[in-house]
Amino acid sequence: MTAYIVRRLLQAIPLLLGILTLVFVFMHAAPGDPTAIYMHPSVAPEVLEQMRQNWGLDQPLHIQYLRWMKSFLTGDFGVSLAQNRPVATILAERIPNTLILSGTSLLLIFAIGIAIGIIQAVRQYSLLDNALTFSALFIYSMPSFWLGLMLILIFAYKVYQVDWWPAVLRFPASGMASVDYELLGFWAKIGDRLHHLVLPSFALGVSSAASIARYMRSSMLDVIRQDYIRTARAKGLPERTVILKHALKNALLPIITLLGLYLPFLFSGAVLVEHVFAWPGMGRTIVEAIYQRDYPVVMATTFVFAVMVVVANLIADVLYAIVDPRIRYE
Amino acid sequence: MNHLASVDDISNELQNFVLFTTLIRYDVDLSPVPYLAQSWDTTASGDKMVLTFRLRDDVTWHDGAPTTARDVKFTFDRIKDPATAYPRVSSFALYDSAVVHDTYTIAFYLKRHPGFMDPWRTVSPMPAHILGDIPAERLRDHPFGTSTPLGNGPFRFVEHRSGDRWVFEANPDFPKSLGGRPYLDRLVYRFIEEPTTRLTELLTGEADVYLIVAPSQVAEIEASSEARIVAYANRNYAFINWNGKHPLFADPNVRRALTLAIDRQEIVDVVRQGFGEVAKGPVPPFHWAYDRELEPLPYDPERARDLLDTAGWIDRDGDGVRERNGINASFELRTNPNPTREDIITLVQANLAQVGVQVRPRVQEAQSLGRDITSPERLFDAFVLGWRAEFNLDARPLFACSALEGPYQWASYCNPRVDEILDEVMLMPDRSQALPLWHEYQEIMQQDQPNTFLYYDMRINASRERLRGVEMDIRGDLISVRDWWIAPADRRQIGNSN
Repeated sequence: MTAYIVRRLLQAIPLLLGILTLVFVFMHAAPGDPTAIYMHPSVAPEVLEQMRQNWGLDQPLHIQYLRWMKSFLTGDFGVSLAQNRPVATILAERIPNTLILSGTSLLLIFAIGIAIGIIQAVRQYSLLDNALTFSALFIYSMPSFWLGLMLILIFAYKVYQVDWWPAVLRFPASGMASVDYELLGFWAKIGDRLHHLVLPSFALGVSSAASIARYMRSSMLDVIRQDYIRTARAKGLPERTVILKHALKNALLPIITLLGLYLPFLFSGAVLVEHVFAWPGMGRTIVEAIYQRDYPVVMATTFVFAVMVVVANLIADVLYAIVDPRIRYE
Repeated sequence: MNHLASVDDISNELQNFVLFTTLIRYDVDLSPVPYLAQSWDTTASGDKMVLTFRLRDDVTWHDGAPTTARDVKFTFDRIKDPATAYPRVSSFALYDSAVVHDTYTIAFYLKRHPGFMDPWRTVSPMPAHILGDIPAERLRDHPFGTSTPLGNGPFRFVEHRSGDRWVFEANPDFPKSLGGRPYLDRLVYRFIEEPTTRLTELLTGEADVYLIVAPSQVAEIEASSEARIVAYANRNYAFINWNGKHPLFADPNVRRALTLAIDRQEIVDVVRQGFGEVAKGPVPPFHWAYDRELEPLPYDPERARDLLDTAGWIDRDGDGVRERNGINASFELRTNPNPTREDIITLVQANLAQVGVQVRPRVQEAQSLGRDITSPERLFDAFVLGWRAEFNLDARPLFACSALEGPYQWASYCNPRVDEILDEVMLMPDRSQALPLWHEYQEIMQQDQPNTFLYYDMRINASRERLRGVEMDIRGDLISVRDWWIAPADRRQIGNSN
């Protein structure tokens, strides 16, 4: 297994370098450059030229590429051209925020999705099953940014006009913490953080939860029609034990592999959700950086996203082997 | 927050009104008044002059060190140093050198010019004892700008969380003579891109001030008993630029016809909810040179049709689109992705269809559009954008013959009389002497229509009712921030903040 993981990681290296090279070429081929935000008649062209020189953009493209690659390989991500800060500092601030958001969503997706899928499979074709199928499709069809806006309008805005609505269910509309966060006590700080997580993680995860529920339902239905389940029932085990102990583990197998597919999906979804909820994460950083042609930040954030996707896929494959002992990577 | 590196609008406002102090400020009439500089005098000889500032001696950096002439000289020297790449270095083109006479006195040697004072309105001196040893080309990357700024203004820096917030607190040592300690204890500036989210934060009381309200949200804010709109005419105007090299737009009569055919009042009413004023030309109403007597061109499609007929653009094949010499009166009208401008394009398309001119709308990514319009070949037909007039109204990069090869002469417009006027008024110290020329300039612009000036914009902000003393005007959103206050009964239980 260890050999397999190492092999997979080694294979990822040329892949990542290829991605970075492509992004480098595409970004520099796009019209404009980082000085465009300063473009104005009162700004002399010589000033823009000086900025380009300070940033090394006056060099031929292949030299810029080699320079960038060299500093990148030595662990230096450079300095953001728009934010005037080391890229490593920006990443260190932003990555945890995105991980908090997508991690919470992921928990939510699998917990809700699996639970609903099981209920539907056990009560196949019941009114409840049909109602859940209908709502799952309904939610699945909603784009996350639109859902985010609706959640803000309802649970962060309209409920303020309803007196009897409990305060704990009035959610903040944006950010990771309140404006007076620094002045709160320890537990109040944690509560404030959690409160701010609710709407964005729900907006980000709920449509994926709906699709997980669909997969879980059909996977569970496949499993409970099998002979060993009939055997379990025949020997008189309670239905709860049959489903949760005997059937669940096998039914989860295809679901686990979805983990690897959902992570990249969550990261890209985070771009929109972070925008709507003003969440200071990677998604917003990458979009701003692209508009501003902030090359070092675009390259670094792309790299981080690519690594996360590679790692997520690897985790899915490893989990696969753990859940199903028949699978061996040798 | 490093003024030598960041000069975008909001950074500049936080620098000049919150964290630092400028040498001078403008009063409501846009005349300079003392601030960090308590007085100044000038002596002139020939085309040179000497400007001497006497600084206040009671303004200190937030670490206790006094703010002195040395800081001003350091800032000036870095601004002039090409290695700094200070974006607004050209506003100091008149300035030659600086000499420190004593701790609080500094003299500048410069060319004589009526607008010599203007740059000091936007420049906050930076602390020489912190940044003095940093090489000019490294100033931009120095953590001073993003994580360790040290100011001398009414508020002190507390915290910066990138992409999230800047936190400031009241500076109790701010000199009484400049107003003393601000009334607010804390000021939190947050970044929220999505307008719906911003509106929600305002209406639920999380935010007390909301900058740049979307026009469609005005009604909802006005309906609320807890918030109000704070709007003022700003320096921006929206315009359509006609590429003078395009066969359709080469003739001023055709350009005038196009302006007559566009219902600009409708545009103001629809896309700005009435927050704006139909424009007459490149001189906005905030400015003393604005010609109040001049009537804007009316919406008159009938006269537009006559003008187009006379110019030889006639629909001979009956397809609804005029043509001349086998060329259709059809063009591509571009803009950058921006809901307001996209709406403008749609309205213009409908208006011009009425007079037999076909508009093909195109929305193009901002930097890609920028490349096309600034290229010397002028690779476009026409576009809609916004422009901000400088206080000196120097429009020569836009309209002067000498700038034809420059990046901003999008109209390829050349009228020697306009060059003459602009060259002359820029050097006139006396407003009453310059006024007739300014008026002539506006009449020529109206006649020639190198652009169709759509409307003068208004800045729309909003504030919670509990926050008092909020005044905003053309000098800035935060001009009065030191005087904002909240009555004790309205304060939050924990801290009070923006």
